[in-house]
Amino acid sequence: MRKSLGILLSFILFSFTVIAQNIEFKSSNFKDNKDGFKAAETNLEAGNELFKQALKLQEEGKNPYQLFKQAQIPFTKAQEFNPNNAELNYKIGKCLYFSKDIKNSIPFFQKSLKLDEKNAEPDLYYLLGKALKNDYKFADAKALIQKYKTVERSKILEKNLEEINRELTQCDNAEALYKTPLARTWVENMKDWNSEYDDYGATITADESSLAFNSKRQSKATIAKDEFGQYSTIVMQSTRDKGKWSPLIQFGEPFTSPGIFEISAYSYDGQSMILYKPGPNGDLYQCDLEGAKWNVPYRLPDKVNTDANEYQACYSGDKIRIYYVTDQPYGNRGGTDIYFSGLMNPKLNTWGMGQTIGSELNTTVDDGYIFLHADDKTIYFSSKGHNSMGGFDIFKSERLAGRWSTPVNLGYPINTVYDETSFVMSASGKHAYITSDRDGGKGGSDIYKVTYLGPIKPPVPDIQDQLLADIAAPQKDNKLEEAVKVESKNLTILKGRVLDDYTGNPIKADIEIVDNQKNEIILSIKSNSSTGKFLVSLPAGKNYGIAVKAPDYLFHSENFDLPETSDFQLVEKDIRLKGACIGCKIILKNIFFDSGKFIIRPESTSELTRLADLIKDIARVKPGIKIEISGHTDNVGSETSNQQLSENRAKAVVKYLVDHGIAQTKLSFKGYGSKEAVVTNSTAEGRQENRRTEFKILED
Amino acid sequence: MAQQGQKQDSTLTPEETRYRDSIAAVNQASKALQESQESYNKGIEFFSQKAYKQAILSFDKAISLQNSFGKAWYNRGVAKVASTDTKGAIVDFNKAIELEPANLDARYKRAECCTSQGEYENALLDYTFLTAKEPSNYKPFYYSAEVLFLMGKYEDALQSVNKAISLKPDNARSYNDRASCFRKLEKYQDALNDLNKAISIDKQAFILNNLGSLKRLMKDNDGAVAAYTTAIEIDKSYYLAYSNRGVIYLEKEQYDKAIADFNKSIEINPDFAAAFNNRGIIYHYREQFQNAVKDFDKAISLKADYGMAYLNRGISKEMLREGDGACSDWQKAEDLGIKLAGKYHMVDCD
Repeated sequence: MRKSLGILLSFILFSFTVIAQNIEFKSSNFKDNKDGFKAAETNLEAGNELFKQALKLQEEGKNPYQLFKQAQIPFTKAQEFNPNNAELNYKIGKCLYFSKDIKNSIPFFQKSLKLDEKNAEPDLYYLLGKALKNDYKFADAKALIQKYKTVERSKILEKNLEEINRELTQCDNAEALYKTPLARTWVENMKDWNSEYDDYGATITADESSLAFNSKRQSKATIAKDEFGQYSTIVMQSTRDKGKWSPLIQFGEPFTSPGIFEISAYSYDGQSMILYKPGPNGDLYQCDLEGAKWNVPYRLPDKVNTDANEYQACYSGDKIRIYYVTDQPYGNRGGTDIYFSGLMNPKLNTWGMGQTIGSELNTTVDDGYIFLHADDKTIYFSSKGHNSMGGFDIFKSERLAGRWSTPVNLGYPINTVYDETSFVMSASGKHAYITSDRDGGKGGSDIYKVTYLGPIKPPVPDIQDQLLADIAAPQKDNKLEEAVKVESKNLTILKGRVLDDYTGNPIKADIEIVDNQKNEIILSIKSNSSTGKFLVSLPAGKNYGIAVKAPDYLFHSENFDLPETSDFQLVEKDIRLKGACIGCKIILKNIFFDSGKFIIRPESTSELTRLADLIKDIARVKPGIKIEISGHTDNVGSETSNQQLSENRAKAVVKYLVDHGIAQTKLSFKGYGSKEAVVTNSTAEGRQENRRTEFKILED
Repeated sequence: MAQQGQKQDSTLTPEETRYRDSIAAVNQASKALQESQESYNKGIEFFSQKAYKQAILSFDKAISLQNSFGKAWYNRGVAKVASTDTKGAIVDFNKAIELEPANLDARYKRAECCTSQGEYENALLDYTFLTAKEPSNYKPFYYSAEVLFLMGKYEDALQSVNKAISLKPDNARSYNDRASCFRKLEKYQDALNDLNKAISIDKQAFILNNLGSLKRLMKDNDGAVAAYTTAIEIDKSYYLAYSNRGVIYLEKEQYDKAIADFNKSIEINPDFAAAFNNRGIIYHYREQFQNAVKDFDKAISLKADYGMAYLNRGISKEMLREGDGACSDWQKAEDLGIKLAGKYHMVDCD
């Protein structure tokens, strides 16, 4: 064990710099720079004088901070001249250590040991050990403190053994707590609030709407610094709205005069506060809010304030009890302890005798900086005892069945190896404020905000399903209704007259209009007897047959197209009827054959029916009537074939008529080929006109 | 034969003149009808070319020329559906049904549009009408079930989909949907049976995806991974299944596998917000909170009403000590219906 400790120490001491030799402040060592040596020697002597005075103050139990700080100045100048003097390095380290610049003392202590370990002061090990603990090098710290125990004089060791062992225990505590930092707890320096001087002792109302803390920063009313390089205490305050703290302002009355009072605690409702009046035997005062003004503070009675110091206090939720810190001897376990007192008569401001809170919380070292949570059963306090990591740590205890539970260290990073005090928490439990002089602050002690994030908030992943098939894979088709047949119903007015072909007189005649394509009679009308006029409307874009018949006249038929036009049209057609006389003939325009053939097409039916009816009508009047049906062609093709075709067509018509009840004896047929053209064959229209079937009365 | 346009004709009697004029009016109406029909047919042609805007314009013209042209109203409605103007489509289907009450297709389409618009009651009215008209057709029952499911009436949806299955027992989609009803009713075993039945009929990726999620609910994470993997095998571009499988890996703390799946999902569909949300969670667990926030930002940019991403971004912002940002996100998430965010906001925000 000893061997391993030795190896560890060698590592701690010599791993930082290369080995150098101790150089005494002797003129013989600086023959080449006598002036420089002289100046250095002067600085050394000045530093030694201050250093000596500081040690004396320390022995007297007074604060040597300022003297150690002052001694650093000449020592540093001497160090610049001769950096390799073991004793000077030790002293500078010690000055830094006791002027609260602990971390920076480490290299000087280490160098001193490196230069002359053999003659090292025993306390160098102890101070370096504690400094390393503050640098979170717990194993190194422990090794050096253990070493200290082996080199320190027994008398001193015996006197300080409890403290030394506590340091060792704190190293273990710190190592354990540092390894297991608090989850979801943040500690942040309130940079906008803190100054380079001590800022400390924040207090808040339970709803976290008001905050005040003490500060040793300069103010208009402060003039000189004290022995610690700080100004007299003033109180700063802020209010919080919608989660935002307002800019700090200096608290007015009763804190207008610096250094008279320090704020200790607001009551939860912010209507009262406890003040600390520093002094040789500091006392606690109370102050109440009257409207918008704080009234004059009044001292808590002697049952609370004793001849000793009462430093800091807090209220219970109902303000009928206060918990406070005192170093009064009665019931005290050591250092400062936590006491409490109950309000007996509010009107008379009489309080019960203060009593210790008990050994569950109070230790043999300093305990204090108490805060009772709004739940009235959870207490937070600072202590150098229990399982502190070093200096004051903050602990929590709960009152269960009338007893305070074993205090629990709030853990790192709320607590560090530095001093953490003055814990206050909002009623919501979300925020707390502490005072700490830890590394990384703005200077002196600072106010820190603790944020408790509460239980872990796991982010929520998003599983996406397509629970409905119709959404996952839609099957609804965008099927349209089908296209429609475009209907054209453009009607044409057909207007005309039926007249006697010879006299031109109007005739009342039966008129039939046939849709040749459909082979349907679509209209049957009569012409006006006095005017012979007729007027009908017909869909345009079709071929029609028109047949007109009147008694004693041969019927008239023809076919015609009504052209498709977008505009309204009126078509005029006069029809002249011939009388039924020998030699009279009718061109049968609505009898159709396929080209070059003699089979009658179906659309000829209407015309043929009319023809048959006409012959029957005439035969009733003139039983001896003889009729010739003749066929005619255009001049296309040979005359022989035209002759044959025209004859066959005439024959086919005769056959139709016979088949439909006309006596064969009344009928004859004849083919004329192209010999009896009615118009020229030189045009298509002419040829069309010439291709025809005729009806002619031969005898009556 | 002489022809002439409409003009003064001294040979006509007044009656004949009136007759002529009435015929002229008929012709004009006929011409409008013809143009309407031509536009209608043109609209169908445009639609077949997926030129929906032109199709709608053509149907517009057909309707303007013949307001009682029921088919044109219907077709314009369908064209509007195709061009995602669902509200406009409903108006057209309303008119088509008014003109031709027997047009069942119009009722189906209107119900479909109402469903997609969240007008569930109206959709149900149409489907109820259709079930009465076509009692042996499974479709109106199937779609009714869909609407009832969307309304959260899972028991009613179950009855309707049961009817659809009785009318058409070989429809995998009905089994899938019934499984979803069972799932919502926490009858997981019944849901599992139906999904297996659906898969036996038609092994589709989305059904396997649903099976994976069901198995996750049944705490069968290995089964879930297997189902999602099969879904991916069926459809290699099925980004949903990648993301969902990634979530299982995330929950199993197999972060590398999870992030690979989320990356793949994003690669396939860079607009899939959930994959960004889920990948953000991996970054969060790896304490890369800035990266997490970036992914949640992206998810929100893709889906502005993505409450869950707001919730998660708030959680990451809290870890970045951006208290105001976290609270703002939780407030937004709460507004979007995420109850957990409301709880966080109440407890942790001022």
